[in-house]
Amino acid sequence: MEPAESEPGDAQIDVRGLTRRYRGSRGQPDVEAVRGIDLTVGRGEVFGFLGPNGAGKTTTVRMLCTLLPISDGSATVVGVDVRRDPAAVRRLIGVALQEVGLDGTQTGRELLELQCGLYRIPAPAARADELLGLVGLSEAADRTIKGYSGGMKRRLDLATALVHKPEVLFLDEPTTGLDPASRITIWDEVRRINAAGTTVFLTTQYLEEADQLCNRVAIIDDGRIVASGTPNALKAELGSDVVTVGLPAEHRELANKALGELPGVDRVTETADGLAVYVNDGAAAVPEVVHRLAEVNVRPGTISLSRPTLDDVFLAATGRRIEGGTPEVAA
Amino acid sequence: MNETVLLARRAIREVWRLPAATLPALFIPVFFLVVNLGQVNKVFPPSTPFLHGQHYVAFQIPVSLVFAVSSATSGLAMVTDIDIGYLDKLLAAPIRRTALIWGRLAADLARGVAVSVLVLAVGFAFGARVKSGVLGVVLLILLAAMWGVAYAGIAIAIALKTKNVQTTNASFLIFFPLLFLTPNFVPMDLLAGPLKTLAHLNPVSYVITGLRDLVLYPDIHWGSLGVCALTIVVTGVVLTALSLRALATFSD
Repeated sequence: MEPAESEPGDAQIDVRGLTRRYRGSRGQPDVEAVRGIDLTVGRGEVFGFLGPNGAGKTTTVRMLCTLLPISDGSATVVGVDVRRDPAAVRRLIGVALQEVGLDGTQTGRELLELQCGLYRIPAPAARADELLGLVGLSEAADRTIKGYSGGMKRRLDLATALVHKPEVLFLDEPTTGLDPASRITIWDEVRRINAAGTTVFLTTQYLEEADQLCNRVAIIDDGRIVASGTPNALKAELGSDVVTVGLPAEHRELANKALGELPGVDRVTETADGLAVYVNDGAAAVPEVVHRLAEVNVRPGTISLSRPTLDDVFLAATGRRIEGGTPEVAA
Repeated sequence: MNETVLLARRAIREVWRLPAATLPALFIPVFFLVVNLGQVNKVFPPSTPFLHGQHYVAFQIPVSLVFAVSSATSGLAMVTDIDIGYLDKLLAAPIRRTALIWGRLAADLARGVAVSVLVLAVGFAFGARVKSGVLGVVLLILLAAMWGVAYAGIAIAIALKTKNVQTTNASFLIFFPLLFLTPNFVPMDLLAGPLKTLAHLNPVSYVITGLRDLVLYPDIHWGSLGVCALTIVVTGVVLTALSLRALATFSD
């Protein structure tokens, strides 16, 4: 199921020039993990923040969740200034970070009741029961969390983020490290939470996850946003099809020049294994590509034809592919 | 329910369910007590003037109490919360952040009371008696537990500052010189030269002396007890302030 496309309407998250700078150690210069990013997330959206490890996704989420001071720029969540009134922001958001933050010595029920108490939910026991049922953990509710599987912990973590029915839910890499079945369960949970009216800000390095869940995405690399829009619009910008050509490194420059001159080719980008050729009509382009390579005495190792993916969007913007960006499932 | 009470309940449950975190802190002082008694019991018979007719074990009980409650357990629990990401979840909740420290200290108080009762029971089994009676026993337990709360701030501060389990665990070692540079084997006036000076400068000396007076004398010595209580309060204020400061700058 593909998510509906949308444009940001009533902004639930608004970020302008957001920057996070870490002090350099031992005379080293300061390091900017996030470099003046702008983004807007509309009410009811599932917004995907996509990028490789170390791109600045988690740092951005931690700033928006008030867990990390903002060095420069501004951010509002549900209209509340994150820098000026972090306490008010905390009442409006739910947070499930990459590291599943659960105390293994407590039972699932105890942890949820504690969380309800901290958010001053009037009937904590009843709300904990409701959430345990919702995430399918009623039977395991009175077992200590250290005995839970990775998927159960992730579902309980999600439940702890939902005790107060937050306006905005931040999910930092919610399926990293999960098996394929658990990943699909979490995707279903995210869809259900969003359908109930919660805006979701989701970071991921999994391209298919972004494709499956997100109305809009922003792609971040090295602390800067390099592309943003709906997944389909971003992919459409690249042309209709991608012909991927496996080539040894010494032939790539020559092949790049030769293929770039072919009619119907939008652009050619170098990849780790060869070249990605963006064309309007892939089926027609494959024989042309083979023929042209033969003309310049280059024999390709492999040739494949595919539709552009968000990885191609990332590749086009940065010249690199996202490492580990392919999930193990095809839902 | 108040967030401090909720977090304290959680921390106390944790202490109850993880006895392995508390028992070593209890075992070591009891071990030292037994070894010390084995070595010097005959050197200091009950007729020794500073024992006031009691067995030497009575003289050693306050040392064991202070030793048993001065642990890095809360610091280790805090650094574990950091390590597993649970502290982030608590920091993202709309609560007063100081409740995170007060909750831990409340658990220290509960643990301190339990550990003190056990150490006293061991002392009683070896023949020690608290001469100041039931009130003395209650004061001994409460003051020892309060010292544990006061001292816990240092390990919590180290945990928040370093975010490192090994370093936090090693903070336990800080207490060894503090414990042994005191009148722990003999009264202050029998200590010699530089050790006597250092013992006078060491706040733990005043805690041990105050507790010891409750064990050895039938009357409450309000002077030494007052100094003991004041030492606990000042230490608690300074070390808790350190841990609160470390929490305030945790995310920077």
